[in-house]
Amino acid sequence: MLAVSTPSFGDGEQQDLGAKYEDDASLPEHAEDVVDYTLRAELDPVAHTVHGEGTITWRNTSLKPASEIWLHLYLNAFKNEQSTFMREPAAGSRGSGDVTDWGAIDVRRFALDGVDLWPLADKTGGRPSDLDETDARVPLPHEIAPGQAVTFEVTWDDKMPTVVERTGYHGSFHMIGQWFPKIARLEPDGRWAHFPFHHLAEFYADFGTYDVTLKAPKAFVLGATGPVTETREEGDMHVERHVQRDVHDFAWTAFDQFQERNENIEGVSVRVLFPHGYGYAASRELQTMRFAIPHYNKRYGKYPYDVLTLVHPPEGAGEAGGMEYPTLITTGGPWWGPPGFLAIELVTIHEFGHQYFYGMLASDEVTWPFLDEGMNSYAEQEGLRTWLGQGTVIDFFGLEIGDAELDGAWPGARVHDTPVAQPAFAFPTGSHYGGLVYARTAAIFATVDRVWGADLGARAIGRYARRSRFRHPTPEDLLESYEEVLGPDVRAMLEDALFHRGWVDFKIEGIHSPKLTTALGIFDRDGKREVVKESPAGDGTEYDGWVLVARQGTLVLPVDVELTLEDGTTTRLHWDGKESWARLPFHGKSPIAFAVVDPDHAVLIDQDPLNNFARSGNSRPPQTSRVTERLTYAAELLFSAVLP
Amino acid sequence: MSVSQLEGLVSSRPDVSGPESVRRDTRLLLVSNDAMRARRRPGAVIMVYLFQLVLSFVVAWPVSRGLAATFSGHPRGDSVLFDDGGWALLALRTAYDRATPSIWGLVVLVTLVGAVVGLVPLAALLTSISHATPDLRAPRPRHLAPYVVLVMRPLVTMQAMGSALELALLAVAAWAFGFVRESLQPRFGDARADQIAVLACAVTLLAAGAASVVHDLARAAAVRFRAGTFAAIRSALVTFRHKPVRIFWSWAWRGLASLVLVVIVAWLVPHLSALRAVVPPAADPHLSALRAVVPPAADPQFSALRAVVPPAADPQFGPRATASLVAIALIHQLVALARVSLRASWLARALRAVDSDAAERRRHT
Repeated sequence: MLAVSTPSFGDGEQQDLGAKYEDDASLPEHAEDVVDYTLRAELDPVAHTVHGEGTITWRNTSLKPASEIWLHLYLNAFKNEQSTFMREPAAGSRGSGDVTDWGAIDVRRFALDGVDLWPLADKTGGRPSDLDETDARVPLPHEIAPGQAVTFEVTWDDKMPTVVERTGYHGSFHMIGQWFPKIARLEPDGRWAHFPFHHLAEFYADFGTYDVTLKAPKAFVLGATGPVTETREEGDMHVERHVQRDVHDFAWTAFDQFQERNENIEGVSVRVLFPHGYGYAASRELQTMRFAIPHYNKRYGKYPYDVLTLVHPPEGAGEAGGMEYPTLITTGGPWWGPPGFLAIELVTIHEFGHQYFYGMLASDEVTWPFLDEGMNSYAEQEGLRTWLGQGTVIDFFGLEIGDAELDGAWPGARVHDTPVAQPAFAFPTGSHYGGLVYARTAAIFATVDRVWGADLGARAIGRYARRSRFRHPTPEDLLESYEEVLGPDVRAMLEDALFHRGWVDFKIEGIHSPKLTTALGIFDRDGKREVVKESPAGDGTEYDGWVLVARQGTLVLPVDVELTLEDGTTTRLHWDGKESWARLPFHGKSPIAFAVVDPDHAVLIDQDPLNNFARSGNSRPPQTSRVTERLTYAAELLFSAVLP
Repeated sequence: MSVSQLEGLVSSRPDVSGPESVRRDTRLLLVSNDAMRARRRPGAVIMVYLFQLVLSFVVAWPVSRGLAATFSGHPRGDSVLFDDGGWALLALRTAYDRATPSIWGLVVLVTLVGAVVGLVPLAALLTSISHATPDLRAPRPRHLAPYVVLVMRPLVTMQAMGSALELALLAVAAWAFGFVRESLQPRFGDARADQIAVLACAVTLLAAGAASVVHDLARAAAVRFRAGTFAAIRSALVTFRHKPVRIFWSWAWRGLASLVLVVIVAWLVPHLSALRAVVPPAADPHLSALRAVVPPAADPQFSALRAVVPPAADPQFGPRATASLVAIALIHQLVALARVSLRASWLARALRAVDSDAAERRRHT
C-alpha cells in the first residue's frame, strides 16, 4: 500500500501576483514560514553516528484541524533489505549499489507539551505488513487548529550508512542528508503529503527556518545549508551554527581532507569544498557558477540566499555527488577532468538549477518529478548551450555532442511505454525514469523554444519560475504560464506530450518536380481536335511539383521543409503540421534534388530524425565518403598500434 | 641454432650463401650493418602501409556503406554525422544499437586475422631492409617470398608468445593500478593515490614496452640470422641487455613521435573543416595549406584574412566539400604512412642492433 497524495492536475488555484512575472518585481520576499527546526547535532566520524536533539515548531497552515503528524525518517531506507527503497527495482538508476554498512535513524523522543508521543507512533505508517520505517504517523493528544503553532521536542540518533544514494560516509568523508525527523507537508486541503522513501523518488516539504548547530572533531571541515552565524571550539570539537530561512531542508558535510575556495559572485558567497588534489575540478565548478548565477538570476529570478556551498565528494563517494539541498549542492567527477568532457560543468549547473526548481519552487518531487528534474534539465540544457555553444557534453578534438541532442535521443522508444508526468514510483525502471523525467521533459520544452521562439520560451518559463517561487507549484501552474505566453496550441501540445505519451515523427514521403512542358495528348479546342504528341524543342524552363511530408504521432508542431534543388540552391516551405500529411507545392527553375523536413532540428522530440530527408530518384547521390575515410583512418590507427 | 652459430652468418661483406631451399636466382645478399635503413626500402614500407590500409578498409567498408545508405537522402550526405551537437550521431546510435556488437565482432576478427597475416608484410619488410639482390638492388616480391616463408614459423610462434606476455603485463599493470590506488586512497586521497598508482602502473607498462622491444629484436634476429624461435629470442635478450637504455629509447621516441603526429592532426582537422565554411571555393586549397603552416600565434592575421573573405553560400556540400574531404584524407594517409615509416625505421634500428651486437661478440671471441 502506498500512502501518497493523489496526483492533482488542473486544480491549482493561482493567487494574483500582478500582471507580469518576467521581472523580479513580482517575486515574494519570503516563503510562508510553516516549520522551524532548531537543532543541535554532533558527529562521531569514527562510529559514523550523529546524535541530534532540538525543537520543531510547526504551524497548521491547512484549512482543517490536524489530529496527527506524519514524520519522514528517510535514513531508515538504508536500515535493512525490507525497506521500500531497497525492495523497489530501479535498474538503470543511481543508488543500486550494495550497502556495506547499514544506516538508520532512531527517534528517542518526540514530545509535545512535555509528553513523549513516540511510544504511540505508528512507525510503519499504517502499513502493518510492511517493514518500511521511513514514514511514521504520530497521533496527537489534541487537535491543532488551522493557524495554530505547536513546538515538539525531539531527540534522535543516526547511524550513517556507507554512501548508497545521496547520503552516507566513505572513509572519513560524511555527507549527511535526510538525517533528521522531518515533518511531512500538510496540503491546504488537510491531506498529508507523506510517503515512504521510494527508490526513484526525492522529497517534498514545507518552508521554514533552519537553525542548526553542528559539532564535529576539530580536524573536520564542515559545510552546510545556510550561512555560518557562529563558530567556537569546545575542547577537541569544532562547533558551527548555521541559520537559513525560506528553505525546506538542511544537509551538511564533514571531511578531514576538504580544501576550499571562496568567491563572491553577484552578491552570493560561493564556497567550494573539495578533496586534496581536486583543485582543477573546483576551478571548473567555480567557472560554471560565474556563468550560472547571473544567467539564472536573469531567467528565473534573483537567487535569494547569501550563500551557496558546492561539495565535491571524493571518488569513492560518487553516489553522494550530483545532489541538491537548499544552498548546498554536491557535484562530482574525477580530479583530472578530463578536459573536453564537460560532465563537471553539466553536473554543477544542473545542481545549481535545482536551487530554483527544487529549492525555491519546491514542487512535489514524488508526485510530479518532472516539475523538478525535468524542468531543471531543460534549464541546464539552455544554460550550457548559451554558455558553451553546441558541444555541451563533449567538445573534444572536433567532436561536439550537445546536451539538447542527447536529451532528444536518450528516451528512444520508452516514450511509448509510460507518461512523463506521473509519480516517481510509477515508472517501471530507472531507465524509464531517467529517460522520460529528465531527458524527455527537457527535450519537450527545448522543442517549444526552438519551434515557437526562444524569447517566448524564456518568458513562459521565467513567468512560471517567478510566479511559483515558494509556492509548491503543480503542473497546472507550469502549463498556465506557457498558455499565457504561447497560447492554447502549445498548452495542448505540452499536455499531450507530458501526460498522454504524445509523440511525433516527421517524414518525407515523396518528391515530384517534373519540367513544366506543353501538355501531351488529345485536346478539343475551339471545335477542333488537336493531337500533341511531343513537346516543342526547347519547351519548358521551369519545374512544377510537390513534396509529400507526413507527421506520425499525436503531437502537432509546425515545421519547415528545406528543398535543395539540382542547381544547388535551397528554398524553404513552411507547414503548420496540423494534418497527418501535406503535399507542399513547388515551382522553380530547377528540379528538386533533396527535401529535408525540420532542417534545423528544432523538433528535438522527433522520434526518428533519420527519416526526415529524402532524395529525388533522378538526382545525383550526395557525398557519402566522409565516414569511410574517417573509419578507415581510425582502423589504421588501431591496427598500426596492435598489429605486428 | 646457438648465438655463436648465429655469429657465423654475420659478415661485413655481402654474404652470398643463401639457404638451400631458395632457388639460386632469387637468393639475396645480407647487406652491411650500416646499410640497413628503412629509407632505402620505400617500396617495402609502402607495402606494409598498403596492407594496413586494405585491412582497415575491410573493417570500414561495410559499416560506411550502411551509413551511406542511411544518409543518401540528405543533401549533405554522411557529413551530417559530423554536425555540431551530434544529432545524427546520436540518432544513429539509437537506430543501430543492435548492430554495434556485430561491428565490434568484425573489428576483433579482422584484428586477430591481421595479427597473423600481418607477419607476412612485416617479414618482407625486415628481409627487404636486411637483404639486397646480388646487384645490390632492393629485393622484389619474388625474391622476398621464399625468405618470408622461411621465417614465418618463428615469427608466428613469437607472435603468440609476445602477445600473451604483453597482454599479461597489461593485465598486471591494470591490477597494479587498482591495488596501489585502493591501498593508498584512504591515507593520501584520490589524486595522490592515483598519481602514485600511475607510477606503479608505468613501471609495468615499461616492462610491457621492453617486452615489445625484445620481441622486435627477436623478429630482427630471426630474419637477419634465419634463426629459430628460441635462438632469436636469446639473441634479442643478449642485445637488449648490452644497451637497454639506448635501444629502448630508439623504440620509444619513434612511438612518441607517432602519437604526437596523431594528436596534432586530430587538432588540425576540425580547424580545416571549419575553414571550409568561410572561404570561397577557389581559396580552399591555398588557405588549407596556409592553415597547416600558420602557427597558433599567428591566428589574428589568419582571422583578418578570413574577415575579408565573404562566406560561401553552400559550404557543406558540392565540389568544395569533396576537395576538403580529399585534403583531409590525404593528411590522414600521410600520418598513417609516417607511422608505418617510423615503425620501419625502428625495425631497421633493431636489425642493426642485433647485427652489430653479434658482430661485437664475434670479435671478442
